[in-house]
Amino acid sequence: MHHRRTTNRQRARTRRILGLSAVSILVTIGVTSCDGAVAWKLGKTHGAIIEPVARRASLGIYREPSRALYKAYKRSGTKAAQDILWAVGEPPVASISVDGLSISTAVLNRKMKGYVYGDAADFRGALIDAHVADDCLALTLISQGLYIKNWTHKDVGCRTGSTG
Amino acid sequence: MTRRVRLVVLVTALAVASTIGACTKDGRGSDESAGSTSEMCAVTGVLREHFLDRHGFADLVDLPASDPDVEGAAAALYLLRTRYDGDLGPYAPAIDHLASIGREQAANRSADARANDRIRESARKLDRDLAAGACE
Repeated sequence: MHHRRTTNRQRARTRRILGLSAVSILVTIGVTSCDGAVAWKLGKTHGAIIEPVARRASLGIYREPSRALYKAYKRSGTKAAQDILWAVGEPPVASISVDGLSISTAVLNRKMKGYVYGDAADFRGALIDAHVADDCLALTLISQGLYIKNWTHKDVGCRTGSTG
Repeated sequence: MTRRVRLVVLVTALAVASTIGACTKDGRGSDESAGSTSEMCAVTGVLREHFLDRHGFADLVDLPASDPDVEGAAAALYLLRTRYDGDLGPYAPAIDHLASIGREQAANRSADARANDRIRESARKLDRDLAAGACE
């Protein structure tokens, strides 16, 4: 009797842990109403890329928009590409979360301009690499359980913006 | 007498209705024009800053699609039209022609870059209105 109660409790605990793990790697794409701030939206040009194994969450610019951004960069330079990227964004935005860390829509809204304009060399390097590999330009914001900010390029998951 | 009064009332009502109709139509036309100008200004904002230093729209629509100036402007317009997708009125033929080149090139497809008279006229109007300060 005591043994059976322990087993049931263990099963319930296991189920709870599994449930929490599933939740922790779930992509949260919360589309919220406009709060007046300018930010990126999900949809035509961007999507969230979640890589559960690497515990990484990124915003990906889909392949075709990435190619167009590169052509704009090639003609008129990094600032032109940044201006286009910023101009294309609009609310609502996605909140992203992976492995227990998340970035809310409010934080994304507040920080997005800094993400786009903050490090021109990092942005340019990633744009060129994305072009060479024909990947998506991507902005990684969570990696290995840490908040980071890194322009990069992605193959997996970038075309549709779905989970990687 | 009563019939005459009714007739006068009817004629007056028709005259008033047609005046209101005309005013509404004029008003809407003017709003549409203002709307397409403001949408055009939004779409071309980044272009005016970074892409029109060598060529205006009238040149861009007639240059080969492989020209770097066309590629850059077309890529920018393709992206900007994903955000600003409103009615561009008379500016639509030129802007959407270039945006479609950008879209095709971004998809690694060959772009049909041939402009027709409607596109050229639209591009000339764009250049004229921008030069006249439509977006300032």
